[in-house]
Amino acid sequence: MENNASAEPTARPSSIQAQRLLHDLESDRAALAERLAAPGWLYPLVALIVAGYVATPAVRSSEPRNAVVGGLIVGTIVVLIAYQRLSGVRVGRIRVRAGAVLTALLVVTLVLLSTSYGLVASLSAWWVLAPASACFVVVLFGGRWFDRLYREDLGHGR
Amino acid sequence: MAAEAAFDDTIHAPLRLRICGVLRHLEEIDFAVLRDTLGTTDATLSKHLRVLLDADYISMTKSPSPNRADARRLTWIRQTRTGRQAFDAHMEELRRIAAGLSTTSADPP
Repeated sequence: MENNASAEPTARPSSIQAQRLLHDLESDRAALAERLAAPGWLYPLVALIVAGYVATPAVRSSEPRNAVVGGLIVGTIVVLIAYQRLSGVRVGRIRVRAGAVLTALLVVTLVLLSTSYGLVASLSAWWVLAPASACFVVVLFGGRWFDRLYREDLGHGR
Repeated sequence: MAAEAAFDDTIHAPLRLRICGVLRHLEEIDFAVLRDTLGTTDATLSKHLRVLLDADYISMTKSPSPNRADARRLTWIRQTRTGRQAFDAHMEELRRIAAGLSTTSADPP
């Protein structure tokens, strides 16, 4: 029973007790990782925003295009902040595996963005739908993969 | 690199150990989410957070809540650098005790 609400010296645990405490900490991490599963709307919304960004070369004039890009960036930040407030958690350091997925998503997005520019320049603005659609799918599934890896690392205390 | 093992009486109380364990892997967490994750009450959690706060192992800030129309705010709890170091050292000692390598456990020599 938890009554020691002070910093009084505590008895050293036995090895069995220490093992039990470590097991409890592992259970807490697993419960937290489970709780942090992203809501169903998050990654489709993020994928839509990023796909919108890949489609911006279809806006030929630079000023409206910059306004759209700015709006998409603000929208992304708002979505992430709203998610943090609703979930009650601000995530910590991202480990190597999840970080690699995030980096790969960024690289793929930039490649698809440059593909959009090329298609607009050589064909027509409607062709941006192809890389934008590909981006939506990649970010949707890549985002969920990142989410799973992050929670796995959290659950294992990595 | 593993932290140097050091038993910490402030952290070792079971609920405070679990609080630190949750905070170690997050940037910040809301009070209500921490309470629900640990399965404890507001009053009990507050008492133990006060002990950790007094030891400078955690810090707490408040922000507006998106879920409430009134003036209630979210309380965000974060582990300080001192708290992380103390927790890591304590965990290292717990692992040594669990593995039977420590000379300070309650096990008979």
